[in-house]
Amino acid sequence: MLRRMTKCTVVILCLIASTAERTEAQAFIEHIHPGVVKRGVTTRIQLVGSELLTPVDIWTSLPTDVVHQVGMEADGQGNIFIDLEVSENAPLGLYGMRLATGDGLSNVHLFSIDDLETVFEEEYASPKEHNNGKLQLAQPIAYPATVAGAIKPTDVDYYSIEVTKGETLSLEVVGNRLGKALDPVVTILDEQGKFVVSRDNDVGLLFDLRFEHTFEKAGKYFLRLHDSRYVGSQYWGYSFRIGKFPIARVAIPSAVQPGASTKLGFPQVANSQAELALPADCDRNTVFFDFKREGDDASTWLPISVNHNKNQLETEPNDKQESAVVVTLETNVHGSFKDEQDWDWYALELQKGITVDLKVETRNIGSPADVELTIYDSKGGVVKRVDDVGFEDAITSFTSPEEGTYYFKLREVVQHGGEAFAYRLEINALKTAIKATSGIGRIAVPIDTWQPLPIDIDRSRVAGDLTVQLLGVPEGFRLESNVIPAAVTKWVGRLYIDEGVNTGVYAMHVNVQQVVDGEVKAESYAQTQPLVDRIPTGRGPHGEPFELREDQRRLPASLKDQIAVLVTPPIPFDFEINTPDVLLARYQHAQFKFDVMFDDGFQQPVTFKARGGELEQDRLRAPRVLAEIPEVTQSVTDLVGTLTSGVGTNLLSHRVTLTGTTTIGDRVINLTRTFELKIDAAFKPSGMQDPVDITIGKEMMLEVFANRIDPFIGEVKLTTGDANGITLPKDVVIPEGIPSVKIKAIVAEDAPAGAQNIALIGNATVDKYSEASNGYLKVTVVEPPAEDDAEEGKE
Amino acid sequence: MNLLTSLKHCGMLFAILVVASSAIYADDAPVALRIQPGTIEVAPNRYPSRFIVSALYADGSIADVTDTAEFKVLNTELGEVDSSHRFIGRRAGATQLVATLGDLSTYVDVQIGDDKPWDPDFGTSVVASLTRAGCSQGACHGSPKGKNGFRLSLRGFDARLDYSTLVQEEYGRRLNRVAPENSLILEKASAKIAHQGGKRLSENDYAYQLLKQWVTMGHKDSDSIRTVVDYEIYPNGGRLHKSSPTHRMVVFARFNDGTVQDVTDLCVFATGDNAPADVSKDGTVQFHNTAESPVLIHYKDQVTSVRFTYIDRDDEFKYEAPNARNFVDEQVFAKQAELQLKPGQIADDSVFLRRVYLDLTGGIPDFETAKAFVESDDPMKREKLIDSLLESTEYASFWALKWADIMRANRETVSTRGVHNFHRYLIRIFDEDRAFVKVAQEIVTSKGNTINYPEANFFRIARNPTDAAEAFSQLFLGVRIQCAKCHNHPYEAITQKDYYALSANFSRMGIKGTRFGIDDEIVLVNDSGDVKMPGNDEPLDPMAFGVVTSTHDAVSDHRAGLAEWIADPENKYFARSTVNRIWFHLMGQGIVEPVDDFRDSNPPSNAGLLDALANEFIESGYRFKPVIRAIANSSSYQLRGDKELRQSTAAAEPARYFVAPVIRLLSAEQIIDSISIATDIPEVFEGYPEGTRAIELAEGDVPHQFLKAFTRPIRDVACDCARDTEPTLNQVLHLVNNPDILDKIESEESRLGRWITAELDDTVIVENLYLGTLSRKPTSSELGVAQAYIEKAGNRVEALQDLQHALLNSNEFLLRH
Repeated sequence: MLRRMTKCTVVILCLIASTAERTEAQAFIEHIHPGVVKRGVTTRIQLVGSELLTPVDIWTSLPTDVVHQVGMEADGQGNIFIDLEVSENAPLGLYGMRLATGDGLSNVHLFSIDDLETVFEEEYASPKEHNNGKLQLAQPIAYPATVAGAIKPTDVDYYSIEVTKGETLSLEVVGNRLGKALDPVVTILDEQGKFVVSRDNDVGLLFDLRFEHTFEKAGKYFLRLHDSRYVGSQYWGYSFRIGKFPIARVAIPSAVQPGASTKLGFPQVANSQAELALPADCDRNTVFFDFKREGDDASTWLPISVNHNKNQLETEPNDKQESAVVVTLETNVHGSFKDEQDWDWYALELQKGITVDLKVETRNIGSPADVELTIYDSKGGVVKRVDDVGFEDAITSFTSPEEGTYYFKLREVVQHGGEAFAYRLEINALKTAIKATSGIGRIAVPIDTWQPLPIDIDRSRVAGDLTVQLLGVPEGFRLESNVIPAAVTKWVGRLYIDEGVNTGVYAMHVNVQQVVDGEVKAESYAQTQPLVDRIPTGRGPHGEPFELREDQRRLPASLKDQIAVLVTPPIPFDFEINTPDVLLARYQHAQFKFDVMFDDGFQQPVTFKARGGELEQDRLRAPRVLAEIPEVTQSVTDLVGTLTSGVGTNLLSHRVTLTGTTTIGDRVINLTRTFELKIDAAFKPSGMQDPVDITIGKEMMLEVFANRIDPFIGEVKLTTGDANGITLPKDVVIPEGIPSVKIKAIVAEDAPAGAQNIALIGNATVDKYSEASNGYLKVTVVEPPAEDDAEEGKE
Repeated sequence: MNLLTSLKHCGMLFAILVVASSAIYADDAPVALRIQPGTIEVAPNRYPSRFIVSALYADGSIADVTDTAEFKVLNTELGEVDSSHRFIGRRAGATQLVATLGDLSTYVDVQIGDDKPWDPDFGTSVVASLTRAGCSQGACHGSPKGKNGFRLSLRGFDARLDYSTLVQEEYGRRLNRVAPENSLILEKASAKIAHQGGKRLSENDYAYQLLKQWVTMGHKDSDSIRTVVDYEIYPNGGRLHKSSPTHRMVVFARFNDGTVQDVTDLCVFATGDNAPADVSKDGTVQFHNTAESPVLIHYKDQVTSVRFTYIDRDDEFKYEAPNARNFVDEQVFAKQAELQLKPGQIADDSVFLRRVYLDLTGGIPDFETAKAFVESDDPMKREKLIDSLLESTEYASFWALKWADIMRANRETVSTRGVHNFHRYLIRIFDEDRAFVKVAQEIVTSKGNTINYPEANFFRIARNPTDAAEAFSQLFLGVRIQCAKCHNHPYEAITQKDYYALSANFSRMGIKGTRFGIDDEIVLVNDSGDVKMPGNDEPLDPMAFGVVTSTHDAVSDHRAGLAEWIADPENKYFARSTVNRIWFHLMGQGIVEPVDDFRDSNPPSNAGLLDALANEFIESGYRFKPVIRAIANSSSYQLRGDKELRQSTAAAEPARYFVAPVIRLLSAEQIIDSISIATDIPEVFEGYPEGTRAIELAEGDVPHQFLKAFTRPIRDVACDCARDTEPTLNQVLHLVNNPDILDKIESEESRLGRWITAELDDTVIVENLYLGTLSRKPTSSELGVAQAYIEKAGNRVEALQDLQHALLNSNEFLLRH
């Protein structure tokens, strides 16, 4: 049964001092062992990783009254042991954990909460004494239990069980869902080692699996578990659940309303139903539902969506337009493709000009269905057809061009079918919407200063300013400005921590709203995509020296809608950037100014590092913009940092984070500020800003400009493009240091009247590189004054 | 009863005699005569019509007696037989032609039509005459760019193009209607003016006359497309009598307009590369010794074939063979007996044991197994062993490997995950001995996300309709159709339409791309999609070599029709090609060889055997194990390689008739696994668990020097030919110096090391080494040599290791024999 996530509770702890050698790197959890904890008991877990030497506390994506640590030890070797107490009513499922150290918060690592006893793979615990890599060395398991083990490269883990004749057992591996690349395969072998059955890749569980098997004979069987490609890592942990529990992966309906009680069915489990009631103030998009039948050893957890739409179940037959099921707006339609040829039709009456949002969910509800949605008008014409949108199912909207009945046809594109091929079609009227995302999932803020809080905004039919609120955090957390102006899509707020706030870890929701006349018209909780794992390939999509794991887009909802905040003690320095926008000419350098303020008596130097965009390594290439920033040891204003553009620099704008780092004893302090960097060509040829009138049959001098960016002063060569009826010098040189030159334009008698943009193709040598930049000379060819007018003019 | 009636009764009697005496060699005297075709149709004063007179013998053989028979035309005013034994019509009417040879006579009706002007059809006569002359072959004007500005379609497959080229191109200068014999096309072809291709036609040639007549008649294009619906070939193959290793043929084409035309002089005859017989330009086949041979008949761009056998009867030959243990032996031995071939004797237990282990599981038996088997006196031990090996996990892995090799699943095509996923799928097929027709159907109709439906990886590799058709045809039908993508197959009866109509079965297959943003892809079926022939806007109905499997406008997945056709009892391809592969893997040589190259010019060496195996395959539910069991239990499989086996000088060339086992180098996997088994030290393969055998590797391109040296395929071609069977110096160096192999031999953990530690007697160890490596005990001579070497060597352990190393490098170990 689901428990509502309450607002986070503050954990206050003192910093733990450590004398070990320090580096600037942040804490990184590679592995949690075991990756599963049982609810209702306290489990000792081990965190393995790097820079874990000064543990302060842990942060989880669950409230602290559900999960909290009751003991913490560091062995001085970088291993942290935590006694994790999980309440009796903790919801099963996958959650995130971070380690707070004196320097900040670690990456997030996933763990599961289970209701089975945990046993350990002996080989993992003591590899020298144990090896379960061969059938003959299989580790006996007394089930029901969850085996916590790990898959190393080329590893094969054998376990043995004793079953009774006709016994049905459920088997599940939680491995890939723990955020690693593990792709487990489980094979059951009989006592002679002969193959019985194998399982790999169950839909809805990423590459994990969940199945049940009925044993025909009593006796000993072997369970073989390995990665499907025989790859692995000492950090690729798994939880191998063995016992009797439901093998459900999809629920129908797959969404529930807060404050209502909903009966759920499970196509993979015959004759089974359960009831789910959520509190009215449940503010989550997705929850895990613990499903357990009478007589089961344990539960299975399934993701259930939470929204306010009414639920409607598909009724067959609706295979044809004529038999379409009538639906209304603000509805979740729950259906399934019964067989390969099953098409599902729905009909919706609409007035003219109504905009309807449609969304089909399958993979997020554990269904294998792959749906194509086609919208027809009342005459049978196709209004729209949509399949996958990014990595999601069909999402679209349309506006009814006229009053009438509109039809939605859902088709399984692969033409597979079965009860489990379920979908949820959400039908909603036009709504204003905001989608807020934050590039950070964690942040460490010293008391009495601030750190940047970046929020990206995607608006849908939302105009005007937005307000930002911080939820789940105590007083003293504040944003310097909580307004996102109407035109801003990438906003950086200042998260201040005032004096009086206790140090410790907090879970913070960032709520973005559009409020009109005191009424909330649209709102969004900022979503994050925190880093769980990293693969050190040097080919990160944004130049990171690592790649994100392949399936990290499927993180538990509880993890994605909150930001972990570590409040640290005050620090003895602060700094501000005085140049919020920096313009950098390619192959040149630019400067930005900042001030650094030190507390009296603080003698440690502060070093600065700028990151982001062109300052990062990109796919094994060195950064193309280099930053030189002085180290500072005392308060000083108008400090200058220099950015230098190298070969291959791209012309773009992006945010640069400038992090100042210093140490107090063993504590590494990072403080970040940001500025916007625009990289452009060192010159941009143009004519006058406004079009110049030139008269047919006349000559005229026109001025062309180099529009150089400091510090470039070099010669710029221009080639003029073709002009219709206007003769211009083909080649023009704007000498070094001269901003513009004048050129003669001769307008032919037969030149057509009207505006012309004449291309200016510019070239220059910038530093030692050839740079090209083009612009336009804007002119308007005008007729000469009429004869009479001329005469009048003479007079 | 008049003369003609009695002659016809003679024909019936002949049929009865043939049936009654098919098992006896009644020779020397023919029992009947036969004139073919059954009716001679000719126009007055035209090119003469051909016919064939054959003497028929009681054993079913035939002899060409056209030149020696005497002829009589009953109404000599209507026509006559010329000196070349062709019929020339003189006046319209009907008569009979009577042929007499000794005491035998027969006759045929002759119809002489009205005397109309000869107006050759362009598409079926003129084009064919150019093909016959060699003008349109690929090396000449049929090349894509033509020659010297004159381009014809390859072997006349595009009559429209050829007409345009001949009549309209170059301002029509290639033809001269006023003086047809001065047409450039004729002057060049007859070398009256310089022609780089030399003289192709003489004025007396039928093709020359035809071309000239066509020009004379106004060089018209065909009114409509006239196509061949059938051929009448006389004789339509058969066994030639000992007295007659030569036989001529005549060919008639039946067209879709109902006409029949003698096209013998428009055909090109061939017997294929390395054929044991020749065929002349006019269609006379000639054998040089006992053999079977196909004769290919090219007419225009189409090919058909007949098959002849000639037995140079050896009266002294007496067929002797081991006991026929099942239908396999019956077919194999019957063919050998027919061709006067003698098989070898049954191999001893050691040879059989090693062979069946290698063939079924990919490795040698270990020491304990070899010792137990050799020493067992159970009369059923061979049958029991075969049964047990078929149930082993190694069997499934080894036979999955054979299919993995040609399915082209590699990291580039289906990703590492896909390779492993697909490999596990293949292993399950062989472990469960799934009906292979169901497997083929499952693969052909596969769809869905390849993560969940591994069989759909087939379409990640063959990603469009033509690729899918090519792969399907080669893998499941044993037919290579690639040539027909651009033109009708130049040497076989596979047309461009066959190619595209087969592709049309896959016209709606689509690939959607990743759904998880990783290495998965989704195979699906689109609502629409057609395949058209190049240059033709009409969508093709999906077909499989002439059989319509669906219609282009059908709503359903076209592949379903193809899947049904796979299991159609009339489908002569699937079962035959599959059992041929099985036979190849067990016997070292296909009944059709190469195994994926079924075609008219490459007929099976034993069609009866192929059919019998195919029937067994079908009747046993398309499962591999019954067929493998039948073959492995046959005497034909268990023959020994007998060096002393001598064949009659009148025997056929024995290479293709399984008189002895094919001796061949073990595959890379077999060698390295067998070394591991012999030494009992497993090989380590990067990225695989300890103890993994080479036959269990999911990928082709494994970073392993030994496997690379022995040409383990990287799985990028759908052909068993990727394995190089010729030994190389690199392989020798690996066997002699590979440090990993030396480590195995020298390891104290090895079987030898354990025997030494256990302080076994030298004689025992030597005997054990032979059993563990060669599956047999040493001869007394070998034992003596080994003991002498050990005694002479200063270091006993090293001497024994040397012996192990020597055995691992012996031909007996490295060859499958």
